[in-house]
Amino acid sequence: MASLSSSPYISSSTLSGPSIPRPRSAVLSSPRGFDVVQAYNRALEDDQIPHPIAAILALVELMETSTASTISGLATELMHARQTLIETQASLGVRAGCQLWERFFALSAGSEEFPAYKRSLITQGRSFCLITAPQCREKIANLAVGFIKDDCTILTHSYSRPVVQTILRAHRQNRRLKVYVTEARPACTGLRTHQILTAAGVPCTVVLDSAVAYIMERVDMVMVGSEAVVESGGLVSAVGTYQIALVAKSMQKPFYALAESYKFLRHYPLSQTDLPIPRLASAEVQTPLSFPSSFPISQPVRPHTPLSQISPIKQGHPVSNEHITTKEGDGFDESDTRRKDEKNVLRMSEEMIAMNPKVDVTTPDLIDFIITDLGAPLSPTSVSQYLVAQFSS
Amino acid sequence: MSATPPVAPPLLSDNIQGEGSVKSKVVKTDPKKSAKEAKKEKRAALVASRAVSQSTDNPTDLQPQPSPNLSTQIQSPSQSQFRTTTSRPPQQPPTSSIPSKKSQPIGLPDLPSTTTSTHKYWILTHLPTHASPNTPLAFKSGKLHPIIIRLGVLMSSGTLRGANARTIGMMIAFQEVIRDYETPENAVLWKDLPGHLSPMISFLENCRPKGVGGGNAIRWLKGEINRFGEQEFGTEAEQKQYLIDAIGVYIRDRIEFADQVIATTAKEKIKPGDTVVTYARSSLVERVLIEAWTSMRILDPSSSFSVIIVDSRPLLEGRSLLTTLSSYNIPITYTLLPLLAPLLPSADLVLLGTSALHADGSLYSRAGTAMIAMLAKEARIPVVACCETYKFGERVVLDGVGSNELGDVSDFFDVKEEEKETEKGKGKGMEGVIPLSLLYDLTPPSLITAVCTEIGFIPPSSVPTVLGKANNVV
Repeated sequence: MASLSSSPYISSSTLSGPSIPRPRSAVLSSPRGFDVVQAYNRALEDDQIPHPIAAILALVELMETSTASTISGLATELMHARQTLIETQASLGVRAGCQLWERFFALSAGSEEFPAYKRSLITQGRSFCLITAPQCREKIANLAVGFIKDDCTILTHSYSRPVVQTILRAHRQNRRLKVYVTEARPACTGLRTHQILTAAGVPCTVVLDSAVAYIMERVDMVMVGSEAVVESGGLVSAVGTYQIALVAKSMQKPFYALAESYKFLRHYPLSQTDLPIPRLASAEVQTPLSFPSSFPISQPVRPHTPLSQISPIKQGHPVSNEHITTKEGDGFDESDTRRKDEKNVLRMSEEMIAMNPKVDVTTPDLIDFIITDLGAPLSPTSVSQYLVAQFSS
Repeated sequence: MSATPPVAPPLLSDNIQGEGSVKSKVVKTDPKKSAKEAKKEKRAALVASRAVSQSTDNPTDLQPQPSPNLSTQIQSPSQSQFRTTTSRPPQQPPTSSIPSKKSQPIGLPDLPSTTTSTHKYWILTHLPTHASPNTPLAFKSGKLHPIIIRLGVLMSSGTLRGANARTIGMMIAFQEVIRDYETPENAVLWKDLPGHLSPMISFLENCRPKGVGGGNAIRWLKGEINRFGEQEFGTEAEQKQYLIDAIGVYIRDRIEFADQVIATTAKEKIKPGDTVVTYARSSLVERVLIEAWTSMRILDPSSSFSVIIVDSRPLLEGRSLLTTLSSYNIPITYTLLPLLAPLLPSADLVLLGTSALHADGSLYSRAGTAMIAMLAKEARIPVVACCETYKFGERVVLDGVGSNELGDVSDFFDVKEEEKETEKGKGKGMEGVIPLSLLYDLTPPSLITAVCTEIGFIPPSSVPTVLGKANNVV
């Protein structure tokens, strides 16, 4: 890890972060029809592989299949692949991984012959992804477990590998702990955390995302994972983290974030919307939660008569009475009461869910410590200083 | 916007004070100038100075092609006599008449300048004021290169305004000085040149404090000169050429390229439909806004953002920015600082220029900036300060009083043109009323969301990290 992350950044690539020129066609980027996105998704199938590492693995795989015979040829192929990845994948972790690999590639150019050089790059990349990266989580767990006192109640959000690992380690060390985990709608990844922890024998309760403030007074500390750590020292992580941090701050509960150093991202968000959006997707994806330009966009899935009569506009989709009648008619045809109950509950439509953000930005002033594999837990200020030192040279 | 030319009246008043007889001339010529006044002046000064230095043997060729402002200052009756003394014989008359920063920090008391008096408010007595330099004395001393005197006049009159413009002007002037410099016999360049430069630096400091950026540039230059002492380096001519080239590279890399990079970085934060607030005029913010506008228009001709220019008395520098931006058809709201509070909540971003950024991350900028930042923090609007890293200062400054500059207050009580005489008289005669104008203020780092530098966006808390890196380079 050290060889990758502690190396200085190349200034030419510094500028290209979020402002990479328009994408070239994906065809250009693929030597012999190699699809870097497919490789990325393949890598992601392994449960233990996070986004940045999957991106690096895809790039390494590209190098293996590459037929380029010069360093610059290889660099061009890699650059195109990086752009394809960045512009198709929404995860900011992909950007972080690509930035890291770019930096590594730019700095490791040595005096060796090209084939040997390429081989060594591939070996180093593979060993980084398969050995160093899991070690990062080990280190983090080692550091973070010290923060968990005996008889302690932890609130965590969604599903995060380092958090789960830390909790399991504390549990193995015979510390009594209880865990509240948020449901993390709409993906409901919190349930996965619940499943793993319960299977390991850790008392774990799932909390509604909207019940975070309710439960906060019973919690001793908040521990979350992250998708990326940005230059301000803040976090980009699963949506809901920011509100948990705000509630924790106002109730004076310590808020710890766990992040592997390969998640450090060269970006400085000024607001929640100031995050890089994949350019290919940006045509369809509007700003999250923007108001519809015209009514109605689509029909609600299951309109509920009383509610929609009270305030159809508030639901965002005014519904004509005839439509409700027909729908309800359909409902009455089915005599199953459970299903009828379901009919009476309004749910978010796919479109509504799609309009919501997947990540949010937690500002550095709400974070007590960011625990990384770099050594002692860092304050957000130190993280940003580390990042500036890395990227500024 | 109105058709009034973007001239900040107080700037002129310095001239007016010093040279009453040519007052009307200044007033007539100045309004014709464009917004890029400072740049033109600089170029003119450079050209003029070259001509001067070439024509030092010809005392009759008095004003080769000076800028109007400059000429009013330099056309003193005795100038031709002094001009003959500007060539530099190694032995010169005693230095008692040389304006020196150390001996007279407030300016030259023997000068008939209205702005150099010690401030009456005791807590501010240590602050320097704008002093019109004693050009005849400076010429007479023979220790100052003519271009330095010219530059000093431009700086103190406010014609050359803004940290970047002043630093570039100073460095170009030093290029000329070094070009004309000849090492005296029995001396070596690296030992003699700093001594040769120091009266000039003092003179410039006296005309207008050079600020953190200028100080960093001078420190860097001295470091470069000292390197000749550490290792052998060619002949004297080669050394001079090396220094001249190095200064050019410094200006290019640390200021011009840096500005370009900052503009491309900062424009990413301006999105279609945004409202950007800026205060007074910063050449860098101007560039960012123009860059953002042009690139946004290229991507989508229908998209746009709007700008709120906040300005304040007495300098009203925002007018110049207003002229420039409106020539690009950027939608602009122009307002004064007291009226900002109701406007600010509709804004999306505050972009600030910088005079210096201190080691603790506090921002030293035009007076009024702190108020903007405070209001923006209150309204939870991101505040971005644009700053080249050469303006990063190593000191920690706790308040805006310890180091600041006193501005011109001569027109504080000017209300209407027709009442000018009486009002002015009244203002001056008022007992116990101390008109006070400070040029800068200090914004605490907690109010700044991010600093946009040529190495990207950084939080103010990372300034020491960058300083540590920069020191290795310099």
